[in-house]
Amino acid sequence: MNVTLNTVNLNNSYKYTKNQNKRQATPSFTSVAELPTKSGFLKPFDVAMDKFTDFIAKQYTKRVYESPVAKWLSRREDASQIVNHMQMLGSVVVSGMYMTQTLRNKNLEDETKKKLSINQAFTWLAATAGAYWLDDYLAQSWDNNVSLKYANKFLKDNNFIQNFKDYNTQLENEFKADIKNADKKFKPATTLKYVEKFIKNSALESDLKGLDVLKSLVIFGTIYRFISPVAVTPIANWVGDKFFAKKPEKDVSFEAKQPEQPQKTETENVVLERPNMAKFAGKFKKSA
Amino acid sequence: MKVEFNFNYPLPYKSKHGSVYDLHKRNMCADLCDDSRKVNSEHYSGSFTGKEKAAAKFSDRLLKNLIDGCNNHTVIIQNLWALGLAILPRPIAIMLLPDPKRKNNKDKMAAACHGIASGLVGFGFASAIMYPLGVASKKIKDGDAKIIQERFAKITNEMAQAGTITKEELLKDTKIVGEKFLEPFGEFRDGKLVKLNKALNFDRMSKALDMAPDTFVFGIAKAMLTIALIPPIMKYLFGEGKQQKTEPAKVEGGQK
Repeated sequence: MNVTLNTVNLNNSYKYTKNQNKRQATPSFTSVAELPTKSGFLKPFDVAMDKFTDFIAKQYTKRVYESPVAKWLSRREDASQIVNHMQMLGSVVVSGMYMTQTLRNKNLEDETKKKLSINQAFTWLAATAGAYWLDDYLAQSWDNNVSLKYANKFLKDNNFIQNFKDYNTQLENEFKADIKNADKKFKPATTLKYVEKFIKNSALESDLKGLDVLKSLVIFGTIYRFISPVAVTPIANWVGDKFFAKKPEKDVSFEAKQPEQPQKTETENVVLERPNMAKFAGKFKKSA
Repeated sequence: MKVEFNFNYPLPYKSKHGSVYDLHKRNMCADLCDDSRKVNSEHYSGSFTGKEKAAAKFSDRLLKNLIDGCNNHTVIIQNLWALGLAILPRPIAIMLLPDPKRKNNKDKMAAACHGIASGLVGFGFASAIMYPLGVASKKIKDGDAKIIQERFAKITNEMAQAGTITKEELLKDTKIVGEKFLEPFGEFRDGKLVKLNKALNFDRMSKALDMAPDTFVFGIAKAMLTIALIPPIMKYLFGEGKQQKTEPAKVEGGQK
């Protein structure tokens, strides 16, 4: 008699593969020491950098943190705007440098110097006012659309947004009930303040502070480094034309060259229409 | 009697992560990639779309790094943003400004190059000089300052008014900072705490101090370097040779 026990059935193979998966997931052997994930090649550099930063921390950072300036800063109440103020001060330094350079310029007349530096100061003033206004204008929507959502994602709490809104409506009702505040506009509490008051999660608090810094950097950076220089260029060109145009050697515009070259080839025409290709124009001149 | 066990069974079709019967496991196949050491990377079949783990993790990490950068290396992020604006949008916007007679073309080129130079110089300075300073201040902030802040968080006004807390207690276990470091946190008399400083926002205070060198000390050096960099960039980008170098930039009068 020949009996065959065919053990291949779905149940058995399920168990078998399941165990195999388990074995795969939890290897029986783990190395004694942890496997190095970082290359040792740059280790000397890392050690040197560590020592160097230790040196800076002891010799420089510590002294700055213990200076009277730190004490003065700690008493200021507009600390939440400090990143804005620092960027504004940075632009004061740079604008001031341009102004002094203009005033020292020997090629310019006194009146021109004054006009130019007043122009620079006005540019700075407009940009700064615009940046502070935009920062204030966007604060509320940034808080609602970025900070609040980030905090909600961080906490994974379904009731967080509702609780926050309830707290704000409660604050608003209290604000309106007070007769003193009749003419004033209600300013709702920020996510950061709510978290500091009720949730007390230091990691989330520092992240929210970082988001606020990001907002300030983006707004001030865009205005100081993009909008203001772009907007100023036509004005500067106009001023430059007015004050520098007297000197003939500086008249390098393409229009001025046109009468000298009555016969133009096709390629030169293209170049003149597209002055960005002046690079090629140089080559053509050489060959001719 | 001959009993034969069919050991050599053909296993059911095995997918990349378990057999076809392990449906619950198949759904979690991207989950398995949590720990890269456990799963062979060539088996990875996770999706990079939607809310699958790998993609979500990458974007989370990016945001996390950005926020950490804002907290600890503010100047670098600031200059990174400026660089991003200066490399493309700013020159393009300047060159696209209406100028029907093409009278100011060279001035516009100089202004565009000025933007690019300032972006490069700013970011270079920030990465080279401000990075070690940022790391150094992070060492104090995450070490000593954190210990002291936690101690002050536990102190109430009544405890402070009692005048029993000494500076030595507060400075215990700290490595770098000294007695003067405590002064912003409150008032001290004869080495004992008398009053707490409620207005203190240590993070903001330290941020101002961290940003100060870039703002005040290197601002002038950066402006000098920027002006020096305009002619080579002009030559490289627009193929312009000798010409009046700095004067258009001076007239510009914008920022940085």
